[in-house]
Amino acid sequence: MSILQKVIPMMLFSAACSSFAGEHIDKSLTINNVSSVNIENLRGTVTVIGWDKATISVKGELEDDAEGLIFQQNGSSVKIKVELDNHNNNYWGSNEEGSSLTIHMPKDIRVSFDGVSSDINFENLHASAEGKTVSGDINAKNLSQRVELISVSGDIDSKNLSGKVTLSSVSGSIRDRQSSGRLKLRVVSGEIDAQSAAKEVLIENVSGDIDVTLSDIDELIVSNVSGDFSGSLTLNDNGTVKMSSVSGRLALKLQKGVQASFRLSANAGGDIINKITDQKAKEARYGPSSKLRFETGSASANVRASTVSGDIIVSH
Amino acid sequence: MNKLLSEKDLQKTVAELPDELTPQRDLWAGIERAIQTKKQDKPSFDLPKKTAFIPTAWAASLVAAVLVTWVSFSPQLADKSINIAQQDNSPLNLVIAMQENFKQTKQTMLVSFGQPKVSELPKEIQEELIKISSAQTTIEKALIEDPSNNDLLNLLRWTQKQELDLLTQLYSPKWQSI
Repeated sequence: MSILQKVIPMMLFSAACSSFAGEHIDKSLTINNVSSVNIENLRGTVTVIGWDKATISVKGELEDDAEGLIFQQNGSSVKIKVELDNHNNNYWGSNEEGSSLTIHMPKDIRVSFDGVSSDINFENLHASAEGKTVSGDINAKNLSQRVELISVSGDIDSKNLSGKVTLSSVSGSIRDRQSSGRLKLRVVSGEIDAQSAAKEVLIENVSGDIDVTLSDIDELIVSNVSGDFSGSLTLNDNGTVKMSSVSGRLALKLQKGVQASFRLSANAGGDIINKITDQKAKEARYGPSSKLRFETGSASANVRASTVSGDIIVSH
Repeated sequence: MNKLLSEKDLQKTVAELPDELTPQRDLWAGIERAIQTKKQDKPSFDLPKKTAFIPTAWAASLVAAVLVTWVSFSPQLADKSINIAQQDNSPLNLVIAMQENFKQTKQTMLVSFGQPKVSELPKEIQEELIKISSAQTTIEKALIEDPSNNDLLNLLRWTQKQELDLLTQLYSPKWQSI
């Protein structure tokens, strides 16, 4: 009897604290005074869904090379981490070999995810959501407050994000729908396709192509090197558009009746095409630069665009 | 009241005073003697000053000559002076400083990760690093033409950060330990 009294609690403790390779996971933790959940998974797929309960549940399957799963509260944060074999050097792997986990957590707690080739799915989280992966894809919907999603070669697909939203990728593409608030989109060579209601939008691009439809702009800033930017937007009164490019094209389509002051300049050979009024760009007497300044309506908004050798096109 | 009266009296007395006051004896003789004495004395006062100035001038010339020779023939100082001049005059130096800073940070980071070989990374990750690096080169070339372009400087800073973040993400010890 005394042996059983010692062995049974040990077995229960082991079962509660660790899970083993390839094992199915079904755990939950009732939390108290937790402000953040930090998740780490090298490869595979992790889905994080916010709910109204005060518990965190983790379900799924660990990969074969996993040593176990850490799932514990440390102070005000909860750590969920898939532990891998220390001697497993092939830690890139493919997602098919990786762990597959679905985590439910309170929707008003901050969450961060860190991975290498792991895909991330975030859904219904309303405190702060931060996700970083290298080659994994990121899917996000119904997130608010502060949202920061970063992938290197993976694609980002987002829907209905609000608050301060930052989406960035090196070569992956970004597809954003129905975001609002303040939106930052950054790519090196990836493509951006966004249809957003954000009032403040910042776009930074090196060589990717950008196509955005924006409905309610107070401020749009575009920094572009050699990629092409194409934007269709409704510019609010007193709103501002600032665009710059080195050799990429800047094409801006504004609503009819836009009331703005336009200052457009091409410094070394780029063309300025105005389809809003009849005014044409003035070419410098000496050198390849040209400028165009004109106003429409009360000119309460500002549109500034400059390029070195790319083209600038403004139209309705 | 008395005060007022006394002030009146004072004004009256002042008004009665003569505009000029002739000295009781002729003072010009004394003034003339004083001027002449100063003129005669002047060379005797200047002479010691000149004698003191000449060695100082020689010493200063010697020090200046040594300094000029040192500055001209010392390569380190010469380079430094050119760098300082460039820093003062060219916004391109901000770009150069950013590049140097980035290289140092990257090197320090790689050392802290045990100097891993990038060539051992999967091919697709190596391609990403090449993409980031070539983006930096593109931006740097554009910055040579327009070194004070803030948008380009921000883009360069961002791509550098992107590369450092990627290296951190790839080589972070957390992926390699239990």
